[in-house]
Formats: sequence, structure tokens, C-alpha cells
Amino acid sequence: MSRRPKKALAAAAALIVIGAASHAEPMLSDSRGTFGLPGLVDMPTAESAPEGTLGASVFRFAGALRVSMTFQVTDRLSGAFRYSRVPDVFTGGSALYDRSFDIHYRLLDEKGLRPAIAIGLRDFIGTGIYSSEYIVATKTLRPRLRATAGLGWGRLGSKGSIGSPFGDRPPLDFGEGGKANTDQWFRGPVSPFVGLAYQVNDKLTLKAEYSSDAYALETAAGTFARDSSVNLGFDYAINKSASVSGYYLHGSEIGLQFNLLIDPRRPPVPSGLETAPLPVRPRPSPVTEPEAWATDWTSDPEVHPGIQSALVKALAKDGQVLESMALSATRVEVRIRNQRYLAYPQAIGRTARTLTRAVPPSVETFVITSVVEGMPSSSVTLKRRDIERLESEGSLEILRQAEFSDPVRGQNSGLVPTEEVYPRFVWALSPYGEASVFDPDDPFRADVGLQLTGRYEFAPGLILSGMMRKKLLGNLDDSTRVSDSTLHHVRSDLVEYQKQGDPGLHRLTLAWYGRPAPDIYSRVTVGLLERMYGGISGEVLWKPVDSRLALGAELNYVKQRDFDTMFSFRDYDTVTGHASAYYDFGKGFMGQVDVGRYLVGDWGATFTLDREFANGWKVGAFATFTDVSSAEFGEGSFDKGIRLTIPVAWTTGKPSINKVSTVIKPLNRDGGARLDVDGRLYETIRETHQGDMQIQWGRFWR
Amino acid sequence: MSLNSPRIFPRASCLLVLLLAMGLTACGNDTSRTEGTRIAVDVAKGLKSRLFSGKKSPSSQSSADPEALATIALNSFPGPLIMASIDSLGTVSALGEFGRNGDTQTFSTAVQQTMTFRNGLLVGTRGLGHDLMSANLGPADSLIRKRQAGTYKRVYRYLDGEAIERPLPLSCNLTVGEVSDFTFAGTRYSTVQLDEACKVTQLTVNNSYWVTRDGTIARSRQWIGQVIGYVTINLLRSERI
Repeated sequence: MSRRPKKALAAAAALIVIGAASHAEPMLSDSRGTFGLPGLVDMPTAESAPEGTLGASVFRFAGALRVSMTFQVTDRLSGAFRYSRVPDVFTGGSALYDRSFDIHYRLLDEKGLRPAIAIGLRDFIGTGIYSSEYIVATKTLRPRLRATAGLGWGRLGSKGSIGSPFGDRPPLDFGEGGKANTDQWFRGPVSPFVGLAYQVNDKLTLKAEYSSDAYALETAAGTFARDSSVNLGFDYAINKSASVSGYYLHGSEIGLQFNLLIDPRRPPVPSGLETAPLPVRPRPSPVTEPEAWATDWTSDPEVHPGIQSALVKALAKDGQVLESMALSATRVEVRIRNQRYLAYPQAIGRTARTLTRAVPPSVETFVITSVVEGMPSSSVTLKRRDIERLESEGSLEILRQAEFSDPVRGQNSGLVPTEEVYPRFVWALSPYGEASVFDPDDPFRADVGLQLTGRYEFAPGLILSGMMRKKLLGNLDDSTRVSDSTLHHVRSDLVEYQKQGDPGLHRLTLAWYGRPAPDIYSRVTVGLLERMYGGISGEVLWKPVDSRLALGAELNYVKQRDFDTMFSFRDYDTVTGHASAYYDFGKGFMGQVDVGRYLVGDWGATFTLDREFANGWKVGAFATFTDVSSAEFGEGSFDKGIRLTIPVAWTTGKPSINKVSTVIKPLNRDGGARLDVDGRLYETIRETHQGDMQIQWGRFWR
Repeated sequence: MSLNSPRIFPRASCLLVLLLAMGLTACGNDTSRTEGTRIAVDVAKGLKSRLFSGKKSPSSQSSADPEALATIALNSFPGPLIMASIDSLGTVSALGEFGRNGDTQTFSTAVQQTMTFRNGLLVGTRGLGHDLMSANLGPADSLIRKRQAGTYKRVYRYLDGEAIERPLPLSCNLTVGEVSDFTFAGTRYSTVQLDEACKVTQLTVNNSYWVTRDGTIARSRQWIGQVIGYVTINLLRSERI
């Protein structure tokens, strides 16, 4: 047995050394291993998933479970978050429920004789049950056959070791978990592993590997028999996004896995299932019909209201609310609230075409101003002749002619508000669902019920809104978990709110949005701000229309609400607030840093990085570091999580501004907790600004 | 995560039924809140119709007689009219002129799906899904109207899955084919067939045009895009009566 690994290692080294000049291509694969990332069975490969794809997989074997979520962050960098169960590893025979993170980076692409090479860390934060590091090479031998050889440390160096080139591996001091185990990386015994993957056809892939994982923990617990180092597996694609995998593990166990792959760039339905835009109506020639170009209508008091009411009706068919309009002999400005199109350029393109059918020929300049929460947040100025000329051309042509500006800097005279836009009242009664995952006693609990929401707008930017929930059915209140936090329970008493707050008034606020100066936006919100806190929240944001950078500041004074989620408060109040910087790095990456004081009075910063797609998909991760020590914080050491936004239109193909957003946090603790106030300014206005609009500009003529 | 607890399955399906039942009760005028429920109901209805009915929905016009449809359209709409049939969608529709801007003309179906033509050549569709956003014709339209052969480049543009506009440049060869006389919806046309073969790497597009002596395209078969494929267009009326 001891000879084969050495041979394999020599082969791996040979593969790494040989290089030849030819075209390098990223090595991609849709076939996953048991850890969710591209791989063989338990062993990794040097492959990556196609850039931007999200994966989910559920792997079961011998009473154990691995649920992994993966994301191909860039062409070369992959990440995974995993929730796993390992049975009977604790004294007393209870199972270990564990969360872990992996990263995988493809260093080199396959080129000529040189294989693709990748480096990776498994379970590099936290309790470290799967902690391992590897360097791996994969080579395409035949178009359908790939061979992999690598070296593993940690768990991947636990069988067939050939020595410890970088010194001993120190014992893991995980404390409360959640810390990167840096002093362990690439230390201790190293073992080679090898494997083959053969793609039989487009649906079926067969795999075999020689594993370097001893499964020491599981065999010691008696839940797993490791009779062989060989693992066999198959992967069968059910369709473009779903596949099943089956394994014969270590000569003793059967494993089954279900995989989903979602590519945000491949919507399940065609987009654009909507009524077509109104075509441009060109103007008559000023030479043959000069009278049509006369401007004497400006003195007729009937014209402005007549055009405005016609426009209100025409724009309403496109889901646009005309809030106000200014019309002169040569210029028209319309202020619109977009209620239908996720991409603002589409709303603006349709409004521009509607205007060509509504305003007299002498009006040459169209200013289309987007209004969000009553705040005019950007103006796009277009020449009418460009709209006429470029209607059937590529969208870049009209983008070159469009001017973006801050409406606060523009002419604000002559705007006539549309009657009957304010006050405005909307309400809805709809079902809701709330789930709790990761609770070791029962990893999935849920409630469903009815939710009543209402929103009353007194005037532009002055909004009273609320949300109430009544549970109909569920088992969230079965939880017997009591927070063990030594800090004040600013967030960790969620279960108490779930138990006692039924029915619950989750939110009842009065918000006032404003534009105090050019490039500046403001918000003041008072009332029951969120499920657990009430008080007052104030925010200002600096964001020029054409800037990649935005800066904001938020200050809140809040009191903790009673568990019954009605009008009474607990004996805890605090001042919390942050200074924030937002930056659009381009290529779909958006970063955010928030520095300030959190709910339990701790000081620190939150770092967020999002990968954003032009169609509205967002996948991001965040981490918060504060002066709460990891011992005080408790399990997990610091607050962190993953967030995901999916536009509803992506799933239906029909136009909609709605999005579904979710935050996946392994733990809800009290350190680094932020107030969850509705309608923060940056997310409210950013889609109307130049950066976001340019990315989505392809929809201007749709 | 329900996998490790088999007893959750009956509970989960119960929740699902309840959610669907509640879906029917969602109401209000705030679409941002009711949309999710509406989608769930649509999905449930779609599933139900798939499971319990083998019939096609009645809105499909695939069985309609084009000549009969043409007569109805000609009698009910006074403006320029075309008839379009899309094989992949199985639809035959009459489209009336909706707008005219220079040398482009936009036609619309009754439910406001549109096709835009420049001198008779398709340069855009809207509302079909996978739409042709725009097209640069090069000299194609003038050659076709003059019934002349030629070689040129043209560009189609689409939105990709991320809704970013992507050009598809093609190299085309236009050839003059046979004389063809036919009658459609009561009008007799004497035409010459022109075939346009366009290529890029693996993709070949074959458009055909039946052009009268005065340059009118009486009938054509034109490519919309990779997903929808081809549309056959018959001219019903070229000018308002």
C-alpha cells in the first residue's frame, strides 16, 4: 500500500513540472464532489464551475449529512458554505452539527502538457472537523477523461502520509470557533491522492479515486468502516440544473447526493414577456408643415393640464406614475415613479417614446427624472431627434447621447404636481413564511401565516407604513433553546419573539425622505422600526449621480421591544449608528464598509462584498468585527453571513420591480448586531444612478 | 435539511397545501406584496392544467385558417396589415400598423406584441420573449428591393441572460432565385424569390424574400433569433384605405 502513493506523487510532480506553450483554457466542470465544489468523490480536483454559478448539494452517507452551498466568485475563485452533521462523535453519542467554509483557487490553467493546478482550504474557519488544505493538478488525457493528482494536509493528510515537509500541525485551538485556523495550514503530515473522472456521455460521469482521508473521527465513533482507500462514484445530470450522484465509499458505505446548479445568466423563462413599447411618433417636417411647429400653444392654459392628464393615463399603462411635469416651448421634464421595470433604463426608454406621442413638435429636450420614495434622484436628458433617429439602433447609440444629472441641480421651476397622486394608500393581505434553520435540536422549523401590510403616503417622501403578522400554523414555538449569551440579549432572544409575538406588529413607522442639497439624500424614520426595536433613525447619504463612491452616516436611538411585539418596551435602550462607504469596483463587484457602534454598544466594522449581475441577481458575503471578544460573543466568535437577491422577473419573464432577498447567517448572536431599519438610502436610490443604469442600458429600447 | 428527519415530510406537504390555499386569499392593491402569491397561484394552475388536461389552451391559434384570419383582419382594420406565423410558437397572427418612423414600420398584434421592419426586413420584435432587439442591415434591404444578388455583413442584437445587449455579426450572401406567382388573401403576386444565407461560425441563417417588380416584399421567411427561429410574413395590405 505504501508504494502506490509515492508513485502517484511522482506522477503529480511530473505533471506539474512539464509545461508547453499553447492556448490556456479555464478547466470547468459541472460535476461536484461530496463537499459541493467541483471534485471527484471526497477528493478535490483543479476544476472550477462556470463563473457566477451557484450550487447547492445535499450529501448523505452513514448517518451523516453535508449540505453545501457554493459560488463561483470569479473565474478562478470558488467558495463554499456547508452545514453538516457527523453522528455520534461526542461522548454520549450525540451528533455534531457544524458549519464550515471552503475556498478553492485555480492557480494555473491547462496549457499544452501542463495540467490545471489549484490550491484550496477546506473548513478553514471554525471548529475544523473537515479542516484540510490541498494543492491539486488535473489534466485532460482524452476529451472525456481527466486525471487528478494532489497533495493533502490536515484531514486530507490523515492516510498514507509521506512526511511533514512544513513542520508539525499544532492542535486546533478553536475556542468559540469562527476563527481562521491559520497556524495549521499546510502543516503536519502530507498525503498524496489520485483519481480519474470519465465522462461517458453528456449525462453520465464516472469517477474513481484513491483517498487520503482516514475518516479517523467517524471510525472511532463506530459509525463508519473504512475498509479501502478507493471511492467510486457516478454523477448523472437530470437536466441543465439538477443532477444526482451516487457513491460507493471506502468499500463499505453507500452515499447519495443531490445537486443543483443555478446560473444567474440563464433564466428559466424567456425575459421580455410583456406588452411591447409604444413606437416613436416622429414629428412632421418643419418645412412642409411649419404650422405644426408653432409655439403659440404655450399661452393656452388648457394645453399643459391636457397633455399632463393624457400622459398620466398613457404612462400608467406602463406602470409609471407621473408625479409632476414641467412643459415649455422647447423642454419637457417629467418626474416618474417606476412601479414596473426592474431596469430603470426600460422605464425611461418607454417614457421617452410615450412623450414623442404627447408633446408638441417644438419640444426638443426631454428630461426624465426618476423619483424614489418621493425623492427626485436622477435625471436623464435626451434630445427628441435622437430618440426619433435611434429607435431601431443598438442601445449604445442612445446611451452616448444621454446625459445623467442630479435633478436638484436642474431647473426646478414650472413643475406642476399631478393631482390625485398624493395622498396615496396601498395595502395587501398575503401569506408569509418564516423558517429557522441550523438549530441542532431540529435543524428545520417553520411558521406560515397571514401578513397585513399598509402604506400611506401623505406627500412626496412622507410615508406611514406598517406590517402585522398572524401565524396560522407552525412549530417555531416548539424551540426550547434559551440564549446562553453573556451579553445583553440584543438579538439572541429571537425565539421569545417567535413564541410570544403572535399576532405581532412587526413594523409601524413614519418615514420622511428628502433631498436637502445636491448629491445629498436624507431619511428620518420614527416608530416601531423593526421586530425587536423601536425609536428614531436618521440617515444622510452623499452620492453624486455619476460616482462609483457613496458615503453615508446613520444615527439611531432605539429601545428594545417587548416579546409580545406590540407597543410596550423592555428596559434596554441604546444609541447605535454607522459611517458607511459604498464602492462600485466594476465588473459586477460592489463593496461596503460600515464602521460604528452596534446594538450591544460594541464598536467595530462590517465588511460586505457583493457579486452583482446586470439582471439583478446579487450574491454577497459579510463579516463584522467588533470589540466584543470571541469569548463574549460565544459560538462562532464573530458575526458573518451570506446574502442573496433574486429578482422576481428572472423567474417569471414578466416585468416586475420586486426582488426576493435572503440573508443566511450560521448564528444569530448579540455581538456585531445592527438595527434592521427599512428603506436605507443607498439601496433605495442606487438603481436610478448612472452606474447601475449603464449596466442595464440594453433594456432602454425594450 | 429535512432529509435527516423523515417525519417532516407529511408536515411539509401540509404546509404546501395550506400556502396554496392561502394564495387564493391574497388581496390588496400593493403589487409589491401580492405578486409572490400571484406567481404561486399561476404555478399551481399551470401544474394543475398540465396534470389534469391534455388539451392545448384555447388562446393558441395554430389551427386557424390563415386565409380566413386574413379576411377577418382586412375587414376589421383599415391600415397596413401583415400576417405572421411563427413555427416554433405555433402561432398565426394578423398584425396591424402601429407606428412608422422614417423607413421603419412597426406592426402589432391585438395583445401588443410587435415586429418592426425596415423596408420590409425585420429589425426588431417585442413582447415575444428572446426578442430581436435591433438589426443593422447593411445594403440588404436595397439589394432585395432591387432584386439583385450581393455579399455583405449584417448585425443582429439580442439581450443575453443577464440582459446585456450582445451583437451577432453575420456574413451574408444574397442570391436571386426563381420566379414565383401566388395568390394570398385575394391578391395575386408575381415575384422573384431571393435567398439570403448568413453565417457565423456554427450558425447559418437562411432568409427568403418574394419580391414584386416594384420592390414590394409580398412574402418572406425571416429569422428572429436562435430561440424563436423563423417567422413567415405575408403582406395583406401595404397602405391605409
